[in-house]
Amino acid sequence: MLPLLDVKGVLERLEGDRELFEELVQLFADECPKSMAEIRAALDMADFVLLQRLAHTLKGSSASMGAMSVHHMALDLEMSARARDLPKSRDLVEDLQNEIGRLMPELKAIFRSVANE
Amino acid sequence: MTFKQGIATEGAQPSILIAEDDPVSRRLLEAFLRKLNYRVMVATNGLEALRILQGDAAPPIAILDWMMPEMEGPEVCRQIRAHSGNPYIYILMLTGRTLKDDLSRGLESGADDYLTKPFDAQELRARLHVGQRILDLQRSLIVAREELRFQATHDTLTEISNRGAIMEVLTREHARHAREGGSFGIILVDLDHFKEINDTYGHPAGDLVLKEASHRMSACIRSYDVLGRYGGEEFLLVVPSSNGAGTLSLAERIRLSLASEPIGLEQGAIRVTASLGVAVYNETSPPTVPTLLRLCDEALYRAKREGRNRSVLAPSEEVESPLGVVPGPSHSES
Repeated sequence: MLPLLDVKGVLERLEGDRELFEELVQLFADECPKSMAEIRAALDMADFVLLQRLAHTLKGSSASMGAMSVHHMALDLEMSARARDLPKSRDLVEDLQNEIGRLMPELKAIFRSVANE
Repeated sequence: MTFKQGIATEGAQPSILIAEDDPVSRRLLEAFLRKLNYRVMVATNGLEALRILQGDAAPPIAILDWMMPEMEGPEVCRQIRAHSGNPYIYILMLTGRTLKDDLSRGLESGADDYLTKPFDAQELRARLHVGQRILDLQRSLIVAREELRFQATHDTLTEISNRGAIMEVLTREHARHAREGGSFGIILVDLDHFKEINDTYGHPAGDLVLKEASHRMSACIRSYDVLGRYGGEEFLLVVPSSNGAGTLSLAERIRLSLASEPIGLEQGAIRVTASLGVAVYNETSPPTVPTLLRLCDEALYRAKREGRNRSVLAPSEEVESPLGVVPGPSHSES
């Protein structure tokens, strides 16, 4: 299993800038539900070009945040959208939704712990 | 009058464009770049990025995300390179950790370097450092080129146009007036008794007189008149869209600006005068460039002969006989 969130790795890349980390976690937490809604809409319309781009964007932001499991699922979704594979894309969107559901409390917890330090 | 005008000053806060649709990566980049003291411009899609990069305030460095709405990074890159000119824009392409052939496609589109996400602050710094080095190199080449351009067309001592450059201006104005009609004037200015100044006060003093004389003459002319050093103490002035009376009155203003106030030298102030010959091109009897110069030179010679410190307007072309005119004596006695 990939870690939900690689906090240590992200902080290293940010050269220990906790203030920035805090801001990015918040931004990411705001973005995730928005991205998922857009991804679902693209899937419903079977707009694979849009789906590929949205998955790509989520792949980028999750990589920046060290959300490794989401990152890999987004990568898989990008590929399945590129292959115009509707059943696989549908499954991956479900997986992503679940994973993000697990990630959100983590983000909030980490955000609190950083804020309290 | 300097060749350095218009070239960005070094040491100023450099600006940079981020084009990235993902808000998290965008904010991350922006924070990194601000820490590195960049002035950050932001675009959230490719078209917006292209508009900024093709605008007047285009930054010298751009970080473009590969996949963006409206227009993808490589296409932005291609369009920028297709309309290339000065100044060069250094482009860093941002990619996800995806396929290898993507990288080569990105570089083929005209990107200078790439950065894979997620990147760290250290890597970004290193990549930008490379970019800055390329841009600095390019800037120093432009400065050197402009310096050479200036040197090739200007007289080192007086910093006005040199003989080659002023002759080119004369040829161009001649062609233009032949095409479009109208008249223009030329003035030959020769400092009186210049050899005596050199002999009496030394060559450094002579140089100072030449510089001061150029300076005073430059102050008399309009922005589209061109003054050049024609020979040792001889100057040629090209006066576009001017007739005989206008050019003669300019010659008189120049003569007075030299004669009215002595020139200060280490050894004391000396009075410097000049003799001026004026000739005019007009469409009714258009002279060739050599004829125009000869008429002007003859007028100058008359000004010398009639006592110096004066301006003489050449008579119009018709004076020339079909048998040709015997060249007048040179004015080397000046």
